Amino acid sequence: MAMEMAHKINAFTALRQRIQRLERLGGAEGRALDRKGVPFLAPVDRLWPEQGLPLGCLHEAGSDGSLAGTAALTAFAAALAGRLGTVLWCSKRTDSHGAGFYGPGLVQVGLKPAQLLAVTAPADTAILGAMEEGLRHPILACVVGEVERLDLTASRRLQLAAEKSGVTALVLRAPLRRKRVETGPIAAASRWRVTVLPAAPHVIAEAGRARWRLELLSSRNGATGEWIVEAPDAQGYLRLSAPVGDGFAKAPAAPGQRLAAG
Amino acid sequence: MDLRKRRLRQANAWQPDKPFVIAALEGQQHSVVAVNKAAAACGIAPSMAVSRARVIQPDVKVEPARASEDARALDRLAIRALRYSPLVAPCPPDGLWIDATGVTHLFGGESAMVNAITRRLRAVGLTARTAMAGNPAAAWAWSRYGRDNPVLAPEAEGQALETLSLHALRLPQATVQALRHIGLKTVGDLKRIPRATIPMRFGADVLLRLDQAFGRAPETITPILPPAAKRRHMSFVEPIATPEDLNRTIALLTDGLCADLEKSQEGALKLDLVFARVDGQSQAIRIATARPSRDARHLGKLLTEKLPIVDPGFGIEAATLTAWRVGALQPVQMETDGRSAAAERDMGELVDRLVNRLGVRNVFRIKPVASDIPERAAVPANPMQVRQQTEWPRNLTRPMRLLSPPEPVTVIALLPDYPPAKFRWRDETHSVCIADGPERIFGEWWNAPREVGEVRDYFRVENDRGERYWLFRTGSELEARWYMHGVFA
Repeated sequence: MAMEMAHKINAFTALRQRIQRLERLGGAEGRALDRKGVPFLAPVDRLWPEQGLPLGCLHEAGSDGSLAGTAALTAFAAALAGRLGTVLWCSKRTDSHGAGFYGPGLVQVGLKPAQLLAVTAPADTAILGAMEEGLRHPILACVVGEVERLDLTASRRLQLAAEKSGVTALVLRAPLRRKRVETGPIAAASRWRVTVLPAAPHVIAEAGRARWRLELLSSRNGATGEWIVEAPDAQGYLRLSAPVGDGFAKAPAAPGQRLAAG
Repeated sequence: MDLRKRRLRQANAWQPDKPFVIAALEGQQHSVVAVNKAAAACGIAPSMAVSRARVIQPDVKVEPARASEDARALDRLAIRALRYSPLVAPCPPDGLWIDATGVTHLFGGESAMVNAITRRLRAVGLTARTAMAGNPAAAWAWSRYGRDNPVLAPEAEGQALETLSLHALRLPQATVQALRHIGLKTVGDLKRIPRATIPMRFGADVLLRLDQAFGRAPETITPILPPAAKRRHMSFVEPIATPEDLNRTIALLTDGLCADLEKSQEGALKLDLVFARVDGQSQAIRIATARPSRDARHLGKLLTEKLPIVDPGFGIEAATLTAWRVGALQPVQMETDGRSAAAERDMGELVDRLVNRLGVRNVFRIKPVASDIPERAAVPANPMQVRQQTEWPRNLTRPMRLLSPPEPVTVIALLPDYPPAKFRWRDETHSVCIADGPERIFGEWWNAPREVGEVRDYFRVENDRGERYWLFRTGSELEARWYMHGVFA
């Protein structure tokens, strides 16, 4: 009986891996298949069989084109990448009037300076080239790139490089000045949009944890969705924004835990 | 002149403020070849007779020229200049040619590179004139006779050269005199007379020099080779030109060089690959590695990536691969900590590939620095240096993006020491809904004396759209200046 059960589980795993391979998630050679995805928000994690964002493929995230949106994307990427391992961060070189990512800020969502290797390049094409180079090196866990333009061909190249090595690629459509970023079709396993929202009304007028609207615009397995979330915590986890009543935030009750009376 | 300084210094005879000349026998008379500043101030100039110089300034010190010693000193200087480019050639008696093709971006542009070279030469006590132009002859002319801007723009080059005196063409004194006799004073004058008449009257050299200056005739410069380094050389019976052949050459050369390095237990840090073309020109590739390496596959790949900048012309007849900087590299041994050693090697390979692609300044790690001033708390550091002692304090909220430099904003606050109610930044007005602060940061007087008493009050503000900014106020309460310094997630 137990034997039969184990056999069934094995067959099930094999099937699942085959489907994943067909979906081109987790690396063509299956290098990232045995690894779980990146869990970061419970309702989102359930959308994928690996309980989180699949590894070894290309993900894209955009915003409304404002610098605040770029900052939110930076936190989003740093939170995801920080939990994976060594990160290569490719951004545009800015000689003056730059607004580059800031190390002390990245640490606060869990990306430590020791895991970060940074690269600056003069133009989008050079950034994409550096990303592709990084994706060929399995010593990295994740490659993040900030570009304005990304076409189908470039995204395919990144996706293929990511599949081959099992390194996860994350493209941020992050302009350094307020600018609309056009979004054409690309070959990404998932496409996200992060926009900042005003903080939840609160009796104490102080700036609490930031809130975002997190949208899953499209994904390889067809799932989409929209969530109001709180910006990542020090470990890089997102949380659903707590419902608001009477000006006080009510913490959602975890199973097995009772709210204190009063 | 300057190259001779060292010799005099050694002889304890060097007195920079006393008039001093170097003389050589030219034809029948001893004439001055070089003068120092003090001598020039007295009115002594090169090509003057020594006896005349003595009349002008009786206590002038005269030293005989020693051509062979000068040439050796120039060679030494050329070898030191190899740090700027793989192709450097001495140009006797007193010049250096540096082929800046494909290397200027490493110094931040053409004029930045010229300035860096001039500064460096000045730091070691040499006065130098530097110029950059489209070909060696034009650079030679512009460095000696050019005016103001040392970098000749390609479109202005021809015009600029035409205004120079005939001396700028590297012609013998007698030829220049002869040309002057018929009324030709500048390069432009010479260019305008019919070409066919020139060789008969003034010799074939005149046209060659003229054509070289305008890039119509090739200039053959023989690059100097760095000494005491590992080197592999290949000559071809038939000139090669196809990418496949060049790739194969690189593979053979790196294999050979790595075998040599294996024997001496070293690894290459800086490599130059110089291709000699059949027309006497040289083409070069330079690569560097983050840690000593003798992995032929890795080095070969770095070199191959740079192949597109090589123009084989009518063919390449020889190739030389030189490891001009090497470091000790012990044979790899199985260790208990073998994984981290392999990880370091893999990281080194990744860094090399990225540096090869983007230049050494564009690949870095962020190093935490113990400083309260936000822009000083994170500095770029060597990518191979992972261990870090300092950590940023976790309890202070810091933005995701930092503006450098901080941008001035106009602010409306209800009271001088209140947080802003409205502010205007990048032509947009933001009304503040929530503000948090101030976080007071003091200037670091131990770093910069003018920061004594400087104070910044930082506020985190959120506008009506939920965008969060980091503003600070500085100056006195009556004359407060506001700046935007960062954006939060």
